[in-house]
Amino acid sequence: MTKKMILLVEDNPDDEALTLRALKQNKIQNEVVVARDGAEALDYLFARGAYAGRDLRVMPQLILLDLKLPKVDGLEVLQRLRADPRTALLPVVVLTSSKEGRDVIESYRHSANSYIPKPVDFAQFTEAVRQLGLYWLVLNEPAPVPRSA
Amino acid sequence: MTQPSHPMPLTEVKPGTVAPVEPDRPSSPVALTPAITANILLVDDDPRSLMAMETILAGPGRKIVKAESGEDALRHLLQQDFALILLDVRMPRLDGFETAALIRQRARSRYTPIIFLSAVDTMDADVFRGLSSGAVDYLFKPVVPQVLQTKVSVFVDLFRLSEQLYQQAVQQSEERFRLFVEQVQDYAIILLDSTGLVQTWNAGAQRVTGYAAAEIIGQSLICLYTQEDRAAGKRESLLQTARTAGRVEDEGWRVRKDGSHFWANVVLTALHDEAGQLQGFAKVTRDLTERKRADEEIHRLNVALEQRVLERTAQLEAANKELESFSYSVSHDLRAPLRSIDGFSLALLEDLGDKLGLQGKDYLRRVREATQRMGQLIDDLLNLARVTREEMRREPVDLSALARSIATDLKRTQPDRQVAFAIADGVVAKGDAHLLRVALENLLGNAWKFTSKQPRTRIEFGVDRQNGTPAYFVRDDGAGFDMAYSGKLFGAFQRLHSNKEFEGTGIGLATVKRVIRRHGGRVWAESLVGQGATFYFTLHLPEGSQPIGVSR
Repeated sequence: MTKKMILLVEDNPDDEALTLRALKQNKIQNEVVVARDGAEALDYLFARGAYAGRDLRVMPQLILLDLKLPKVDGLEVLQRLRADPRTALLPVVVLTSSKEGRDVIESYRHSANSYIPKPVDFAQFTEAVRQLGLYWLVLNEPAPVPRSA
Repeated sequence: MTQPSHPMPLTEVKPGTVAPVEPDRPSSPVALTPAITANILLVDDDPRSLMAMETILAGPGRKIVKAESGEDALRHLLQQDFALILLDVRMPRLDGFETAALIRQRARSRYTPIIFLSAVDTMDADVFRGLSSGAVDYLFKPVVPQVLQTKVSVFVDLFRLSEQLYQQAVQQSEERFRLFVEQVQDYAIILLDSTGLVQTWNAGAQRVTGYAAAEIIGQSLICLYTQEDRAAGKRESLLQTARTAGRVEDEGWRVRKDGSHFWANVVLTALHDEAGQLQGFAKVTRDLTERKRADEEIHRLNVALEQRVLERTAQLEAANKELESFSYSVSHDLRAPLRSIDGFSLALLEDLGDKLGLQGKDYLRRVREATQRMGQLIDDLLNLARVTREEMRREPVDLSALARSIATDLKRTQPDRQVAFAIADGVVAKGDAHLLRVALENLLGNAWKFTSKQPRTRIEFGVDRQNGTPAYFVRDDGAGFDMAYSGKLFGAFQRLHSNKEFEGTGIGLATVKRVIRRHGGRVWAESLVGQGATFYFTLHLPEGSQPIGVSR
């Protein structure tokens, strides 16, 4: 797959705008699909609901996942996608406000690949997004997307 | 008997006359009572000689026992005690001297007077031998009746006198004991006969039960038992146990004469005569109602206290849970708007900076600064809350290593600064590694911050002893503070420096204090303005004092 797409799971429109701005400032040109709650994220990943008929061979190169989400929360999204062979190996970076120990531990317990607390200082946030993009989109070699049965 | 108008002087009492024994003058006395029989043992192998002596010595108050050999005499001595022994020296088999020696060997007859009888031709050596083997006198045969009678009378009187004195002493002792028992107030001391009927009743028994002696002597004590105990046959079973085991102790409710109940401790002891026959019981009862009530009150209070502890614990746990979920929401929700404010302010500056002008840019810079300060405040507050509610472990923690690792982190934040860290080696303390790191981070972080205005500084970590307790310290040569305000140092949001001088939220030292208090320790500071500050903390209070730490 040549399309290195990013799935951003974020319910806060401000955070969405700021994340997109940080990506843009760091010249990360990849397509960004935004899901505004956990249920929408899962619909996208498994081509259901509004995303029915989506080409399942196209999977995000990176998922940026907020934890506190309406309907289905971040940890549950993580749990569900790890339980499905089609999405089990996708790189997931938890990007959230919380620095609470239990959030960090639960995320890793559900096999998050990385955990990044969003800094209040937007300059720091932009720097974090730069490093994250460089690592996950350029340096990291993801597992190939499995063929659908 | 004594006539009041003519008291009989003691000197007029002749031996052998009726002696007046006055109960109210127990020390009066040297009158002889014929009631005391004096046993006299005559030992001679010649029956005629025995007969003759018996005739001479027989009289009122005397019992003559005859023995025809030494062995016979010893047999009689096993059965009874004697006031005097008349012992023939010349006897076949066991002679008088050997018999006397055997008599002296027995404790009961060691001091019984012995008069030896011997033929006139006895040599002086025999006399000496007789005296050395325990004789008190020596008579030659044929015995002159008058002499024999006189000597024996002296010994018989002596015996009666000592016997009487002994009996008086026994009586006095018994009387004293009886009075003592009667007057004991705190214990009911009661004698029961072998069937359990009351024989004696002391003042304590009346005080404890309310019954007077006249009401109860000759009765059983069933009236003291509760209905349930009566139905269960408790009185009988206690008596039976005392009969078989010799003694029984019981504690339980009993009933006073007025119907009120008292908590009794009862010891019932079986009394036997010398032949082992049950004579009755001694019963000692104490009224322990006060103690019982106190015990019950203590028990009740303990139960109530435990209940309150449980409730309080539940409340604390609920409060802790609430604090936790509050912290969790704060952690998630309070930062998000700050990120928007900061992010869009920066976006404004970056995208529209030219149009804002200097003043506009300055305003936005202030907005961003305030936002980031708010973010720091939230972080510090969350940290403070975490330090309070996190579970604590006690394990050896290498504080030296911890301090060095924090120093390395601090140097990394401002690599250009010239700060000499002097960290003592091998400082190990018992505590929670994570919490102690938080405390040291704050203390060393403060030292780092308050020395930032100096080109070269020194920050020290080590341990001192204060009253036998290790006092760990962090010392710097920075700005210091005015000791007049040291009381405010450890309160949350309390600051001794303006933000312009040194940045800070005023939560760091409050966090340190909580960590140290949770370890049962103390934290304090010493400083002079411009001459640096030293922060001390202990982790264990000296032995004997109460830890004030707030644990979960």
